[in-house]
Amino acid sequence: MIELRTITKTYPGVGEGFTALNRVDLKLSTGEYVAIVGKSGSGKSTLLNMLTGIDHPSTGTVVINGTDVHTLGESELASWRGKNVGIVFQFFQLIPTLTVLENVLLAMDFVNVIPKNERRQRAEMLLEQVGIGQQGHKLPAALSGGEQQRAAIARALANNPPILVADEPTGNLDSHTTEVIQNLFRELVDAGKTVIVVTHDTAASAKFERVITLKDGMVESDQGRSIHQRDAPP
Amino acid sequence: MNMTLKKAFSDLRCAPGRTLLVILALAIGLWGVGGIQVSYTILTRDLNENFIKTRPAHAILTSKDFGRLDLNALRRRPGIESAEFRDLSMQRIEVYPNDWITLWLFGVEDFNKPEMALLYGEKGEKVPAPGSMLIERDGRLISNLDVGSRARVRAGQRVLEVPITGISFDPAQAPATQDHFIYAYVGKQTYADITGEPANQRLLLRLNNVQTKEEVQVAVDSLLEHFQSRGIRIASANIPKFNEHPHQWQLNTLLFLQGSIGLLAFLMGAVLVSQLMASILAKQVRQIGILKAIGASRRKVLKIYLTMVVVLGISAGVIAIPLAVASGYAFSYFVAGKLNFEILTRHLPVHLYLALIATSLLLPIMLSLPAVMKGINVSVHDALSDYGISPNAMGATAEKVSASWMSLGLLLAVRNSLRQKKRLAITVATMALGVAIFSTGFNVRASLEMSLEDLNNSMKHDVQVVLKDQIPRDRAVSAFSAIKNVDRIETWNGGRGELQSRIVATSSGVGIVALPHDTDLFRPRITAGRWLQGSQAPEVVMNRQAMELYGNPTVGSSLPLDIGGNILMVKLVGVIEELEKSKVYIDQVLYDAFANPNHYINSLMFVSKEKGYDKVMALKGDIEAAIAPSDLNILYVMSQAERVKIIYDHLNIILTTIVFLSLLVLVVSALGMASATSISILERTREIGVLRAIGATPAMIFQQFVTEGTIVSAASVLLGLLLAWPLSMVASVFFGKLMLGEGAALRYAFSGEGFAITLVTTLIFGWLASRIPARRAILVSTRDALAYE
Repeated sequence: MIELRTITKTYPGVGEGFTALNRVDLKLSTGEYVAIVGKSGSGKSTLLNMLTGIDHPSTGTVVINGTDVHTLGESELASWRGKNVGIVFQFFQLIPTLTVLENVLLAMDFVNVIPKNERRQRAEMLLEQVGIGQQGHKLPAALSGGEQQRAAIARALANNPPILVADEPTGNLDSHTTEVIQNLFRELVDAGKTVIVVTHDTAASAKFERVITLKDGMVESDQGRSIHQRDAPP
Repeated sequence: MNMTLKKAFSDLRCAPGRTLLVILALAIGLWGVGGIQVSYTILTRDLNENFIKTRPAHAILTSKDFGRLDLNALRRRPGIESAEFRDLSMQRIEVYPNDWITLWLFGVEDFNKPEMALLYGEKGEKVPAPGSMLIERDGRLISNLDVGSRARVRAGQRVLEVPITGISFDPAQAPATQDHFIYAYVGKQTYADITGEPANQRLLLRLNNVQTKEEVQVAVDSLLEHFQSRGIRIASANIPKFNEHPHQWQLNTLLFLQGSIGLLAFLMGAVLVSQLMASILAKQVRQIGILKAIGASRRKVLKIYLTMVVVLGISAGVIAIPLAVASGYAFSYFVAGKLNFEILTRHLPVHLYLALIATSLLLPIMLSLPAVMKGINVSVHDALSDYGISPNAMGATAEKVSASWMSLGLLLAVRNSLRQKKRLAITVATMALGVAIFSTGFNVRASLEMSLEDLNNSMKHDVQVVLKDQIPRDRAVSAFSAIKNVDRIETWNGGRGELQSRIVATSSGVGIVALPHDTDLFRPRITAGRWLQGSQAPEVVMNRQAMELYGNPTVGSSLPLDIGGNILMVKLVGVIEELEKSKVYIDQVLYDAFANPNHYINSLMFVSKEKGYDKVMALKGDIEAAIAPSDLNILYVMSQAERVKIIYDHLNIILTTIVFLSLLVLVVSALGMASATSISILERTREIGVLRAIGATPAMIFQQFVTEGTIVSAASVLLGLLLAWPLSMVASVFFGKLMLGEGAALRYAFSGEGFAITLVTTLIFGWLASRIPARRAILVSTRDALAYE
């Protein structure tokens, strides 16, 4: 269960500063396939940063599976993130000096939840699962954009986190590859993962079970919410 | 503010850490180079200026017949600028209770109106009252003598108490601290009273219109003929190096060291700054594309970036120039203190300031110009698609660098180190050079110490007593018959030539040592030929310094040895190495047969029964006690330990400077590494964010960069130490020649202590150089790191 309680994020600047998120309340259940949509500057990426602990809210709390994320110290937060949230970036952000396989192994090394003797086999399995099993020995630069994004998804799944967060994961990909990635996400949801995708592509939102639209830092609409959430107090 | 300046300032402001790093790097480079420029300017001018201001003599003549000389007539002779008697006698003075050293006692003709070899009053009387004396200021550092003291002076068999009424500064003399002499100045009558010798036997001459030693020689030769025609027999004619302080060689060595290491530091600083500038400008390529896209011409773009560079240069100059002036003066005062001269330069020449300002402005421009031009020449399309470090930067290297034993963290560190190969090469090369020079500094030091050790080992006696006169052996030895801790006394006849005595020396001032050919008290290192044998034909062995004076003859050749005007043809059979004045060694039997029919001696070499510093010093004390009631006329009494110390003191300032400047190079190179690591971290800020996003803790990121730094540092140390080996060999030869003369190359020595210090220092520097920027890296928040462009 992911719960955002009255989250406000204000960036310092001229005057009162810029409010990227304004008193946002959200609840996401395990296994949901959620799209966060909105125009540029609506607060999508800031919301994602709140969910992943990458950024701290000015006020409010983020509780994920019972953990108040922003009470954790930097090191605890990094470990927590590694175990609980897999992140997929728009520009893949693979480490260019490591091979694709090593990129996946690195995430396991950092978090140390997968036993050492199982890591390689798991990394190969994940690459196989995302459809690039033969590319593991290559450097990221040798892969196409779609393959790099699949490698990034494999890395995000390295420690078997319950939540996968993706920031514009198909923003740089062609329509065919976009579909492949979306299918991959669907499979992960089917396997029980919570997948949250930030996208500005409203047309793609039909693929998601739930679409949260942000506008000026506030939730404008929340379509497809589960009955459980609808019954929850505002 | 116009838009060009505004853009420059805003670019610099938007990355304050990086801007500060560039300014700091520039400032440190400028400070180092500027400080060296300042001290070089001061020292080059001032030692010579100090010396020249004393109006030093061009020639020094000695004769017992000067009573017949009409000094006023001589002064009127064409070519004579001034002439003055300045007698000199070697006596002994007690510097601490029962500790006697050589006293150079000068008899000054007129303290009020000296025409040459000027003295400057520093404390107390400027003109000593009859019966009193002035001492040179440096002497206070090696004695308890000062104004108000009553110095005990031993002249012949007498011990006199002479009040010290003033302290003088005599910049023309070698520093008392190094030569372990006391220089004292008395009036003519007092001179005669103390020494018992007649005054006016040593004449100083300054000549008109001479520029070289050779011109002085010609003028002196003509004067000698004139004296001869007047029946004045000249005992010696000494022509010192023209307008050159006796310790100019030390300063030359220091200046050379400063110049060469300064240049090296400058080049290293230049590399460092050029890396930083290239990194800044690489980040600006996209902006250049944007500027061009909105209509900026190449000239406009160039102006914008050069303005930025000039702003950096000015900022660095404002910090560095005052520091350079302050440190340049501080170093000059340090050297002046060691060499006993005054810093006269109160205001640095304007051109030096202009040079420093020009350096601070031009250096960054020159260094950044290639990167600026590269950025300007890139097409708008390419510029707009530039995202800094290429994802392809690794090429195929990454796949090659792989080993099963490496942890993923280590593998990442190794591959990241190889990511910017050119930068890595420059960083490792710079650091390795710093390590090599630092290590070489220690090795050269070890070479010198080894030479001193050789000297110590070559002289097996414990205490040497040198008499002012040559006397019968029995008379000399009998004075010491009651001393207990004496195994034996060997007697020689000899002197150290120009430095201490003309008793036994060639006419040109080369010391002659006549000693038993089979003596076991002198075992020098023979570099060519062999040691003396008991052969019938006259043969000699020379040290390298004497070889130089004789024009480097080959072993086996015959040479004329001029002893008091009598020529002895000798065969050169060997060359020895020693840190000494020029000396010729000859078998005592042969020497006596030619020049010493009465078998007189002037040196007693004491070998103690019980060794050890304390025992030997106690023996020296016993010898002094035995001398006191005797009628021996002593020139000096010196233990072997003191002898080695005197030579070490001469070289110590250079040894210290070598290590200090080497450390400076190492610091600059470590800064280079720190800046390279900083650039690498800046470039990979976004990657740091990604690593943190996938679970790396700050400690892991920190460890990652420290590992990278350690890899670079270890590679540099390895390369540097390998490089230090040939460099030390060349440097030992070079510095030996520079410090000790053409013939005195030092042997290569490996300093184990230096190796350990280099290793530890470099690894610490390397560790710090990566640790400091690494710490900065983990302070960036994950969000900021991910948002970094």
